Amino acid sequence: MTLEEFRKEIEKLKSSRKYLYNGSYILPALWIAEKNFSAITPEIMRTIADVLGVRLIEVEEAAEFYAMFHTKPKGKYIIRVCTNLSCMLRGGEEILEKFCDLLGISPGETTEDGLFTIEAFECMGLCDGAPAVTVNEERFLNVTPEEVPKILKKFGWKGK
Amino acid sequence: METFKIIIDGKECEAYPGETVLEVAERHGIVIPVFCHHKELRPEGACRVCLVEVEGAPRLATACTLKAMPDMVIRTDTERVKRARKGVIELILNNHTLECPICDKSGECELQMTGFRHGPKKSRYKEPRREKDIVIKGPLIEIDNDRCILCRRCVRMCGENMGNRVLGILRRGYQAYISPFNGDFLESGCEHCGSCIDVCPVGSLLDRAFKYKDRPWRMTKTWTTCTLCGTGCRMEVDTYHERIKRVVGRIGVNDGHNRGYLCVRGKWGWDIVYTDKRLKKPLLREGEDLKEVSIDEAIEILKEKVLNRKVNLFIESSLTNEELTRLAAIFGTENVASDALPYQEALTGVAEITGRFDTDKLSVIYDAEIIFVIGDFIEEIKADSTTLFSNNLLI
Amino acid sequence: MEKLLLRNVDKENSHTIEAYLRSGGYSALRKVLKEMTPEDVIEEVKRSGLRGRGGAGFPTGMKWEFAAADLKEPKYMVCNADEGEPCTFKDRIIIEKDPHSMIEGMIIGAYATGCRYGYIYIRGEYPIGRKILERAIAESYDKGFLGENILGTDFSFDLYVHSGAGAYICGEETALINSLEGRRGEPRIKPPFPVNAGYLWNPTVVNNVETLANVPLIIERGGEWYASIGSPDCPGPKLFPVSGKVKRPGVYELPMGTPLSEIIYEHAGGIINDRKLKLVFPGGASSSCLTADEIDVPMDFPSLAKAGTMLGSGAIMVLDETDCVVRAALRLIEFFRHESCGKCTPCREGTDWLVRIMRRIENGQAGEEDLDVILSISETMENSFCGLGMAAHNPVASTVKKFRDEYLEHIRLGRCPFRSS
Repeated sequence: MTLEEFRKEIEKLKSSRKYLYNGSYILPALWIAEKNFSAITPEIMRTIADVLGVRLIEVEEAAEFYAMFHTKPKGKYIIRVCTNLSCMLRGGEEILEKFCDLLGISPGETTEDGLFTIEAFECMGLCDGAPAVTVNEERFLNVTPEEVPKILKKFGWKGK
Repeated sequence: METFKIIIDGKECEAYPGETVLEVAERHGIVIPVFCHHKELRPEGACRVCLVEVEGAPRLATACTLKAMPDMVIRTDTERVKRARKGVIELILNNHTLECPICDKSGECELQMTGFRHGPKKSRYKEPRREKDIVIKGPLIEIDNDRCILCRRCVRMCGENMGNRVLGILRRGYQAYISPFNGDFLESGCEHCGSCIDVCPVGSLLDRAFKYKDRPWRMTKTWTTCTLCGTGCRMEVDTYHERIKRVVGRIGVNDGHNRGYLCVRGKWGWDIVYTDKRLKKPLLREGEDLKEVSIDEAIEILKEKVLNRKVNLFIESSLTNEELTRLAAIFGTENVASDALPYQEALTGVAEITGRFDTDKLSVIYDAEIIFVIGDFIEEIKADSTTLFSNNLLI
Repeated sequence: MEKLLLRNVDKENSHTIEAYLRSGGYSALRKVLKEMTPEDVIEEVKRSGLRGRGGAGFPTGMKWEFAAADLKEPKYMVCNADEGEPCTFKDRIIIEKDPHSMIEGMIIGAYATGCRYGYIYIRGEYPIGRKILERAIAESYDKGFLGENILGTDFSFDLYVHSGAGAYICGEETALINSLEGRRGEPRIKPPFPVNAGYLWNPTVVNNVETLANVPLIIERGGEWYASIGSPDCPGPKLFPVSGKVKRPGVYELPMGTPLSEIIYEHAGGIINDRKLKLVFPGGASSSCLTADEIDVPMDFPSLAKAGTMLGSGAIMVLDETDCVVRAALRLIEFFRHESCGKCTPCREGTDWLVRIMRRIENGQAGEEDLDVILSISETMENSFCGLGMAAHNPVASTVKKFRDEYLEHIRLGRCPFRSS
């Protein structure tokens, strides 16, 4: 998505008249940015502030506050491994370690080819399927370390 | 207004409806320590230092957000309150940098004072100090986030009182820090009023012109009126050995009409005092050249030109009404106009209501043999009036 | 017990409006709009004794009454679907499997309180739930249950989905409202409460997903019937998400007041490999723990409060004898440190300090005096701005009190006894 297309999207969003207050469009606008760009850059925030008529810092505050918005470049696929208590008790940390080992990066980092970002994530409400992993919007439940390469291959991982 | 009574530490206090317990206590000389609250700001309840005990309530309440109610019984001096207060101050101090010797705020720092009065005498913190290491530098303002206690006074001052919303809080929890958009004051539209610096209780927001320049406790503080425009804002000028070090508005203490709010000129314009471009001796124009003359000589020349002729004054708007009256008396004129041209209509409107207007419309001053101009502004004002001058009259 | 809240979830395509209508859906709404005044609805909900299922347990009827009494317009109805409490996944089941029941509950609530606009604030981690809700709302518009002049009456109500983006604090209602306004999700000073000054400082009713899913049942079968289920002072069916070291983790619908031991051993099948139970967090991550001797307690708001903990979201987390208490408490306090918004000092600084001390204990670099420091920090954190900070220290403080020996063993050994090396 180019910045110009993005501006059109935000204008479309604003004309939906979903909210009676322009500030309320900030989060939906940031979601559009999060899904279409590798990172929410200052340039994107300027566009949002401009179209919505809000202050620049209001957009940056929102982008920095919420854990699911990335202001640093992220990979095409975000692997979120739950490490909160229920998943931890059932081996969530081993799964995370396995992912990190296979991709050769630490939690929070992105692979060199820009394909994967791994995140040690907080509870995603999938505790009945602990340990749980999500890749973008897809869920993987009751994951075992043996299944990790299979998950990665599904998303184009070139490793063995 | 109808008042009612509340009891604070056994003392009967008179309260107005809508007042907070903190405000009532303050009026009655009972000190409750607080960081996030400021007289000029709306209650925030964020620092949790102003905890008090309310009879009948299971939890301690923050005095800054607690509205006084009739027959409320408050205690600010119980062991429980003291322990809670101490606990919160300890938390604030844990990761606060101990840069007091080189901190500009040292000596007038609220954390120093409150920590001294109400804080723990010994720290139990064994962990390495957490460093954010985020320093944001603007042209005039600097934010040192390691000293910040996140009371949010600056953010609220900027957004709510100045209506500017330059400063904000980025990230969250223990990593939160204060910053303008993208770390850039200018792009964020900062007007550099300096109010954020004034309300910062610690040395986090800094006046870059004052940084490392002097210590607050040894400077002479002089209350005066800003002379850089005609608004007449009260301000405190801090000097050491008669050299100006900084200007502060003292929001919340200042009793002038500006209540401590300054503009960029008032806050940082004082350095014109020391510029070498400043006119220190009279200069006489002789053709293309300017010749330095003594003050007596200058007055003689003026007398020659002005005496017994009709003189009108055209002055820079930074002169005060008192100065104007005096000048008008000397020159025997009743017609004075100033360069505050854009405000002319608004001022006329005000004059209609108040019946008082100390400067006149520009047109009145043309009716004279001489227009005496005070100030260095002729080239800055609207072109049409300048043309009028050069065509019709002698300057 | 008859399945009430989960009556539809096992049916095919239960998330579609056709399936919902087939099982008698939206008949409660029809009844409300045709036969009942808003006052009648509030009266019926008050009679049922329904208490909020989000964690605080505030009587829903009373909340609606306050909102209805406020004359400021427009009013907003907000569904709190920001289910962020670790190990809580009960609302997810309703959102994904039976979204229309909560939408119906919401429309009824909006009618009772006079709300014109509604928002479902769903957490960013539920993208699938979001899509299902958006589809369900569109279906509902199609059938005329939403929009202008619903079912030919004067009542109009518009409903939208608003997605959060990964902030646990937004489950707190005032933080949720700030987030809805596009701000940082920080709690606001109460009072004024959202029912009087919420979204855009207008009256706003904030109800949990599960609470709203109860409403059609109450209307259909009557408040008195509802009040007869479970504990008398806190009635109704309740969803209990059970996770951790149990044989069958999942969501169990049981009457309020079902003993904790029954839920763990009968419904969730007991502990994995029939090991011994060590401790339970009975109400999500922010509740104080219960030991194996204390699990006969009935699961409802007053009984758990009496036992020194809380029902919260009702999420039951079970640890067995092979789990390290310190490790578990550390993980939870790390979570709270990550989720603290940073507004108030006790929560922002207290969570960080607790994490640092707990890490030292787990790594065997602590002394016994650190345990006293933990308890003292926890006392200070009681004075936090909102419920997050007030409860965040619970898992740590309660385990220090109840499992002091295990903490001391870490300190004595200089390492975690549950780790081989």
